[in-house]
This record gives sequence, C-alpha cells and structure tokens, in this order.
Amino acid sequence: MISKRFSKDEIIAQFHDGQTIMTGGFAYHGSPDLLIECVLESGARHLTNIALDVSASKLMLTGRFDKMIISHAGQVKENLDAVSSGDFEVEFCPMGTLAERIRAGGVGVGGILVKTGFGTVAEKGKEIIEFQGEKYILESALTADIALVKATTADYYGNLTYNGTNLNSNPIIAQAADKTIVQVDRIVPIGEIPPEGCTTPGIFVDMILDPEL
Amino acid sequence: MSLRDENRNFIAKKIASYFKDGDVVNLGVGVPMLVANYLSDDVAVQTENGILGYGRIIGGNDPKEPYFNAAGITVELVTGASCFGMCTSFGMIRRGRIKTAVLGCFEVSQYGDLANWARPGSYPGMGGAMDLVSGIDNIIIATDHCTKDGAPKILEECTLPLTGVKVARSIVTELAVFTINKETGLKLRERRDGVSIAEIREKTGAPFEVDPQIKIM
Repeated sequence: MISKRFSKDEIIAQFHDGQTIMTGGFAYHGSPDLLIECVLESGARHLTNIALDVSASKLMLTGRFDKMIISHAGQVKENLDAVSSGDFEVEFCPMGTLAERIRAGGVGVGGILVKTGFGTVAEKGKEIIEFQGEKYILESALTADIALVKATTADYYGNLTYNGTNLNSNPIIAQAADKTIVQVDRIVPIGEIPPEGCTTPGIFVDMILDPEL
Repeated sequence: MSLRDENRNFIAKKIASYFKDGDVVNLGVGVPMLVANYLSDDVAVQTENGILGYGRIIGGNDPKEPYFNAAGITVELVTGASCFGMCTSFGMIRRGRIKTAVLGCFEVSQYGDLANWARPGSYPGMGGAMDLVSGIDNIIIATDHCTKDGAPKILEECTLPLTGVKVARSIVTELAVFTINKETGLKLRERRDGVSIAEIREKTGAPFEVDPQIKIM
C-alpha cells in the first residue's frame, strides 16, 4: 500500500546547507512548527526562507538564514529587531503579490503582471511592462527546494484538508517546491477523505511527518 | 479606558456609521480593527488572511482556534461567512469586489499619499497594505490626529516610505473628518463638538479648505 508517512529522523535528513525553504502559515496560525523544529535539528545553514510573514520566526532568530522573502515581520519586538539588524537579507514583497508569485511557481507559470506597488519600493529594480494598454510590474514566480506545510488531515497518499484560516498560504506553498513535507493533526487511511473535500491532491505531497514512527 | 482609547473608539464608531447592510469592508490592524465591534452583522468584514464575514473580535491568539484575522487575533464568524486561501482573498481585492478598506497610518499627505509600513528603526513590512490600496477604491484612514509626541500625521508630503501614491480618499481622526481630492487636496467636512477650526489647523501639517456646510462629528 502507498504510504508517504515518515519519521522525524527521516525528515531531518532532508535539510541541507543553502536550500530555499518555503513555510506556510500566517501570524503564527497554520504554521508547521514541528517541521521547523526538524530544520533546526538538522543543523542546516545559509538557508533562504520564503513565507508570507515570520510564522517561522524561530528560524530567523537562530542565524540559520541568509535571506528571507516575506511581506511582514509581525509585531514582536525581537523579530522586528532581527529584520532591522542587517544580519540577514530581507526582501519585502506585498502580501497579495507574494502569494500570487508562489501560486505561479506552483502551477508552472514563469511570472505575473501586477499593478500593486507603483510609486513605492515594491517597484524598484523591476521591469515595467506595457500590455494591452495598461502598465504592470513584472514579478517572477517563486519556487523552493522544500515546502513545509501545515494541514489538518492527510491520508497515506498525501491528500490534504485544511481547517478555517489555516488555508492561508499552505495550499499554494504545497505546490511550489521540489519536495513538499507536511505536518497534520490527523493521519487517516486512503479513502477517508472524500474526493471533493481534498484541497491539496496528494500528488504534490512527498512526505508526511508521522510522530508515531 | 484611557483618553487615547476613548478617542480611538470614537473614531471607530464614526467610521462604522458609514456602512449599510450588505456592504463589505476590509479593516487594517490597529484603530481600523476596532470598527468591527460597531458594525451590524449584515456588514461583512473581509480579512486578507482569508475570511469574508467575521463579526465580533474574541481576542487572544491561540493557534488552535480555527478563525483569526490579519492581526492574528481570534474572531467569530457571522452566519454565511466563508474561508479561503490568500490567492482567492487578494483576488477579491484586486478584482475590485471589496469597495472599502479602513487603514491606519504613520503619515498621510494632503493628496492622499499613504505611509503606513516602515519608519526609522522599525521595518515591520508592508503586509497586504500595498495590495489593498492598489485594489480598493475607497480608502479611509483611521488615525490619531497627531503622533504620541504631538507631531502632525497629516502632512503636505510624506517623509516615510510610501504604501501608495494618491490612494487615501478620506481621513477620520478624533478631531476631524477630511475628504481628499487627488488634485486639490484636503477639505474639512466635520469637526468634533468643542474643537475649533483653529485647533485643527494648528494640529494639521497641511493646508485645507473648510466645507461651508461643515458638520459636527
């Protein structure tokens, strides 16, 4: 029988220096905290983190990252200080644009055209495209080596459901990486998630953290 | 409640009175969020992290709670609410389905330039603010009239990094309501009872016209 359940140690072994890691979640909700622990335990360094905000702030404060692409650093003082410190590179991107860049990466599209950010730092250094009579900023798609996703339920194949506002960035991140690793509240046998109730099809999922293995 | 909190609730109540049943509004972090507590259940609050239709703010930020707003605070949904991912959420913003947003500011200029995401020594990031001001037509600024140190927040020109150029349509403070015309600038529409136009001029860092039919807030 197909099963993508893996132990914590098998997941820790996936992280290496220099990787780009996307993390789901927003404002500490829907954040894959157990998988973030795995990154820390792996000892990997010089990482790049792509996330809507600093839900993965534990990583930010441990010096593991050289670069973060985020839209918001939250309200916590130590995170704000870290962002201002210059210890790592921070690229701020408007949240809706960032979400759409990740979605584009996850559906195999090279980039997107947006009107968000004209007259601000968000357009600095970007190509401006005139298309069908309108001006747009060209934004590149984003992909990653590894995506860390928090879902509510996974079956053994990796079909995923999400609860409430945990839908935030998790489903788009689940599609945008070469290897997608998932943390869930509940693992169920294949067949238990109704086909039309599955938000992320299991084809996008590579590993499910099973704390019992 | 401190005077500052009382004033902020006064601003929120005033802004809540602008909405009628069936309207949809996005509320930013800070003073704007207080507006939710004064709205009827038939005004839908949208939050960019993925809810259309939250009502009361419950408070707290326990990650185990299923519904929270853009500030990470637990909220209660109204009947008929929906939850969705970020792309759908910003889709309804970019597509112009959300007509009004209430946002806070560090600075706002007489022509509607808005700065609300970065100031010296603190770079929290723009979050969804740039997406909101570029996708939503009616941007209402809800803000204390002056900074904690008494400096005006309404200025001829913003000095801080911008969120958007000529995007704010009106400003509501504890002292006054202004509308903004992108070309001609500020017009004072309402003043708080007991507050003189001279006091508003003194605390505002930009010139403004006074509506001959000026009202009391």
